[in-house]
Amino acid sequence: METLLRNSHVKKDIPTSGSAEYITSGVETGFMVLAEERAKVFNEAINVYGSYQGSYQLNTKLGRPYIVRYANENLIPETNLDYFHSLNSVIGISNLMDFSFLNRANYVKLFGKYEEALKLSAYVPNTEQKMTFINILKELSKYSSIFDFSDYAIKVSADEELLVMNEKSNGIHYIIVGKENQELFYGFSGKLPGEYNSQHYKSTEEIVYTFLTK
Amino acid sequence: MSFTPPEYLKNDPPTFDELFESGEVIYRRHAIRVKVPLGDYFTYIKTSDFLDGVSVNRSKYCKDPADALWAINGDGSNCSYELKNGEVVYCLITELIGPGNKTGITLYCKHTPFVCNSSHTDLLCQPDLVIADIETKQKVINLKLFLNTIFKTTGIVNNS
Repeated sequence: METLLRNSHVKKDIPTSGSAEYITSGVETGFMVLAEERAKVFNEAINVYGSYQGSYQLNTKLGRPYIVRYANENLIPETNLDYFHSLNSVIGISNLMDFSFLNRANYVKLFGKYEEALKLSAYVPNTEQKMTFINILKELSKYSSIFDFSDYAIKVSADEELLVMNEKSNGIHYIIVGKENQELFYGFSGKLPGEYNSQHYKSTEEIVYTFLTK
Repeated sequence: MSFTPPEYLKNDPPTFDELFESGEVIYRRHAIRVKVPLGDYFTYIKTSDFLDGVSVNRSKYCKDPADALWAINGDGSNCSYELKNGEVVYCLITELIGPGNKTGITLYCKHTPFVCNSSHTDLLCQPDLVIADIETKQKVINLKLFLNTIFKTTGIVNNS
């Protein structure tokens, strides 16, 4: 998969065998015809991608669902509509990889911050903590078209927790991933005295949703 | 860089003063390891530090908040100080123990003067934190978030 991503600017590397078929036209920058068994994943991807970027449409051709991305840079200012990104979304939707990578560029930015935080700390997270945190970053990257991540800070606390922090006008919001299993907390530290709370979560999706929307 | 503490900080032999007045302020040095947003000071305090006592200076015996930037070398009796990088944050003692603290953890200050720092005080919590379960960990996170809300920056920074 990594090889595929690195070589993604080469059109011939697109998988054309099996259940997937790649089609291009003059108007559309690229879309994927998906087999019926992929429809569930596809619809889920449409829910995420279609609603956030507004420039993708669900359509059917020859009785099979496919995704169309229209070449309108005004609609997708941050993606530059490059071929790489197009392929990235195709890979994601076709379930060849987790579609949380749909906006891979933003995921890479968040992951870079995570690596920086680890460099500044002597702490080495255990595998479980690392994977939980990476899942948080993947989940966050899904929303990067509608939320600005540039101000997000990623840090390692003195208690060896991995933190994502976002300072908003009302206070600081945290996602806290502890060392042990199930240690996943959302925290809020307001600017007024006594305005703080934390909540334990089990689901990555739920905590990210709370973190972004509160 | 060595430093001779001012006379008002000397306290030989140390005398304890457990009477904290309502208007008293405590100062703490916050090490800037990385750039952190305002109000993030206590994220970097270990839970075990609260059990042993987080060192602060109390204003009754500390005339200058910047005194908190100096750390004592050795055992605290030789009066050798070192200037630390960081900034000074402060809060009113009444805010620590006031109704705003809904963490489920009681905080209190204990005056623990050194020979060369009469203002040294430990910020402690009670009861002892057993951090084995999720609920207690949530309390600890709340405690840190609470401290983040009440400590404010003095604007005194040493980046040298």
